[in-house]
Amino acid sequence: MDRHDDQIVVRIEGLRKEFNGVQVLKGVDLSIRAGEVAFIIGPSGGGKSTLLRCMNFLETPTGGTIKFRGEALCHEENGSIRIKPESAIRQARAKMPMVFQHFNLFNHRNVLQNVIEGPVRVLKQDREKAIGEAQEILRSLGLSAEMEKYPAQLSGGQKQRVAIARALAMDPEVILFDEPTSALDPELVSGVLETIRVLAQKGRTMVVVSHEMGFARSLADQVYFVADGVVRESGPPDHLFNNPQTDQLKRFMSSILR
Amino acid sequence: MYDFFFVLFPRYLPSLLEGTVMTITLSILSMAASIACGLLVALGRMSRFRLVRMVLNAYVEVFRDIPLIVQLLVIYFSLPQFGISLPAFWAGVLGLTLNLSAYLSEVFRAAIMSIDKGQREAGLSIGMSAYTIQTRIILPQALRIALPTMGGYFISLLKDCSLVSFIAVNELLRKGTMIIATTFKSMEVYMMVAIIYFVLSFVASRIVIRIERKLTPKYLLEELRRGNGAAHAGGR
Ligand SMILES: Nc1ncnc2c1ncn2[C@@H]1O[C@H](COP(=O)(O)OP(=O)(O)O)[C@@H](O)[C@H]1O
Ligand SMILES: [Mg+2]
Repeated sequence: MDRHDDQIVVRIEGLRKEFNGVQVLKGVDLSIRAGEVAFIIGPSGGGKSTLLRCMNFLETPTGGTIKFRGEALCHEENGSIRIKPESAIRQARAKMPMVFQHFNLFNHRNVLQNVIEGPVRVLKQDREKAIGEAQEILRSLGLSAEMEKYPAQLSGGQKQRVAIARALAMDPEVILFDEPTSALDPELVSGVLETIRVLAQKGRTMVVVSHEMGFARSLADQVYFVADGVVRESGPPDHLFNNPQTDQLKRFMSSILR
Repeated sequence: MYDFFFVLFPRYLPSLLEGTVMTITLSILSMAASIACGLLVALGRMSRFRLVRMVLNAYVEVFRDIPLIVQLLVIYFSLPQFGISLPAFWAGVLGLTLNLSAYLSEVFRAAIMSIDKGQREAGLSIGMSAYTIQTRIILPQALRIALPTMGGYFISLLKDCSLVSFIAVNELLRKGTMIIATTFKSMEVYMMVAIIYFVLSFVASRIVIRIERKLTPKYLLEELRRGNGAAHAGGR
């Protein structure tokens, strides 16, 4: 391993996923470096969510390799996929949590309880310590006044920021975002984007699926254009957006910017 | 009329109350056992093992398709032929529990399946184990949804206990019947039994409502107020 590889937190090679015989991911390669913000863009149905869900093992890959901190969580041997045991997968998930389009907050727990659930139940942290840290995180996200509220009492933007707080409480190495603003009313989008921007400035490693092109352009270190189950193009945002190589990306950009 | 309320009622009440206590005991024991069994059956029916699912589905089907009274008679009178002989009281508890568990497992299964799959995924995504997700995330929400229906089944159970009189358990109805056997006052005594059942169910349903109120969290009250109390299916 050269110096460069040390910084790679997630390396994906030849990742494949099929649903009932239909290939949805057809061999995806990408690497996420520490401190990097990677954006995944692409047309609907192209496999972006499936890619992210495979990284979190919400879907079980059918082929290829996912390495997290140098450890292969899945790899192929003699043509069939080998997945690490459940306990190893759970540990990886705890360090690479996901933020969902529809928030998926625990409905029966208030904001603070939502945030400490992971640290207490998964990381086995002391409850008092977890509460202290959760309060700190919630404060930094402007949610101090919401700690006792239930998800049903929050706006969409607040819900998504609580979901981000829940991920942050895991002290993660990478955070995965699947269209974090797509379910929000337009006026609530910027608040959540701003939260993600602040995390980026603090050096958080993040993988973001998003249709917010302006946001991607200003924030991304790397952009991956995913379509038809493969990474069609990738590179720094200026490069990718100014010089799209494939017709598919050109068409995608014009459809989005229209 | 005067006789009924001020002479006969006090005379037979102690005996009828003994029967009432038996009815309540049967109900509470069977309910507690049915909640536990029903929950296990519900989870088992969602197991990834096909055999477990098949066996439990068959169990639910069988116990829903045979009248409770026939189930009780089989347990009490037919099982001894196979060397399984239970005292009347426990035969009653067993019969009521087997029957109610079948129904409750359906209630629990529906409640569990009504929980959005995003809840489970959120748990998974931060590294929770399947067990933690079930006990901390899914079941607490599902049980609260099932609560009103469970209450309805409890009221039904109180009344269904009268069937246990057929297998010689001295609950309320049978106590009444026994009094009639010696006094021949069937008209009056059945009326008393009816009144006691009414009071019992009436009080129980008020208690059930209070428990529901207490256990229904803020986040659900809002929804219930909007009239989404679809779970209020009641008994059978
Ligand atoms: N659980 C599933 N079962 C079957 N097909 C699925 C499932 N999830 C996704 N797909 C299919 O995989 C393709 C990619 O979906 P997805 O990853 O959600 O795309 P994107 O997030 O880029 O819009 C779609 O054609 C979708 O229908
Ligand atoms: Mg998607």
